[in-house]
Amino acid sequence: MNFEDLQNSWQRQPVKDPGDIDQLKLAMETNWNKHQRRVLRTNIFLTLCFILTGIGITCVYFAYHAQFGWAFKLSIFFIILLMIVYVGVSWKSYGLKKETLENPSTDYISYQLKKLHWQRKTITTFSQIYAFLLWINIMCYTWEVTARGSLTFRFTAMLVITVYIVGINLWQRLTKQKKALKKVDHMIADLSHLKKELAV
Amino acid sequence: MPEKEEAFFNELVAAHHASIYRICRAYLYDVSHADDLYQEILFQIWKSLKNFKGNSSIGTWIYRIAVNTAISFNLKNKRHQHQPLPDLFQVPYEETLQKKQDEEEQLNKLRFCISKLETQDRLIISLVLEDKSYKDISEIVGTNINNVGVKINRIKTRLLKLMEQK
Repeated sequence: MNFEDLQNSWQRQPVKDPGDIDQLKLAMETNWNKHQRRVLRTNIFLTLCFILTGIGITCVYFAYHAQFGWAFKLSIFFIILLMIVYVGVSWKSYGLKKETLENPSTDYISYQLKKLHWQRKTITTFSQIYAFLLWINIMCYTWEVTARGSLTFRFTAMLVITVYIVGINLWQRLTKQKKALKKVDHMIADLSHLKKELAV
Repeated sequence: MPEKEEAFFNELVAAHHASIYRICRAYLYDVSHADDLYQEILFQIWKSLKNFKGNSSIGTWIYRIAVNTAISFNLKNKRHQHQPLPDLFQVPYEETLQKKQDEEEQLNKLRFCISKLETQDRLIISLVLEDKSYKDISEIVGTNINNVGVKINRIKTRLLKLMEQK
């Protein structure tokens, strides 16, 4: 048996009829496209939520800014700024650029890896920094708006908010983020291996 | 899709669908998964048609899309990999050995042996089986032509060795 025999036999094999374009349209529902749509939906939802929250916070600012000092104003400004930055980071995760399928495979893989590394960074770093900075700003805000209350009330309010933020953050890290990270790491490992082997 | 583009797409499919299908069969052992991948590749070609600028030959362009779609498809569907040994090759009974002389059996065995190769080797061998030149393969994969040559020889040797195993 030689390779040419195998090649001839391979090329003689029966092949499937390609069907028509309408059928191909139905084939859109691939996992990859589903994944991209899911990220798009999440980002749109996140953006809408942040816009509504931003409007709410701005209303609070205009209603009460005369009554409170610089900590109130600064905390509101930074909370809005943080939300804008976080939305920007989330949108960068979404592959707005074309899939680059027509590029050589090693370039294609590099591009996919870049996107995956960005997703990983968003999960592991940016979301943590966001939570921490948000906590600082909310603490500033709470400190200012509870200034007229007793010390016990002030610290209880701050403690409740801290426990809430830490709790939500921990829950997300242990459930959603852990699962997402595992998936992303798996894909990064596979693609890195493939890229390395193709290039050698 | 405009009529002109649709006609161009139909031409491309008519000229290349057999090669694309065989690439899918080389990449994924299971025929139903290979069919899914085949549909996905044709769809991606259809979707990318407007991006074709003629910087490379249409053949290279199509094969790049096919190989890259296969990479993504495989990544998202890990269960498609490493199919279990078909019974036929696990226990080589005398009758089975007789049947092997049949072309379909040989093809099945070839598909199975290809499925035993590493992912990247399956991609490359599928292009070699399509009679693509080293230059074309290096352009499709995006690697050095000398490396491709060395790699192809190694994969061919491994494949023939697997084919000779009973």
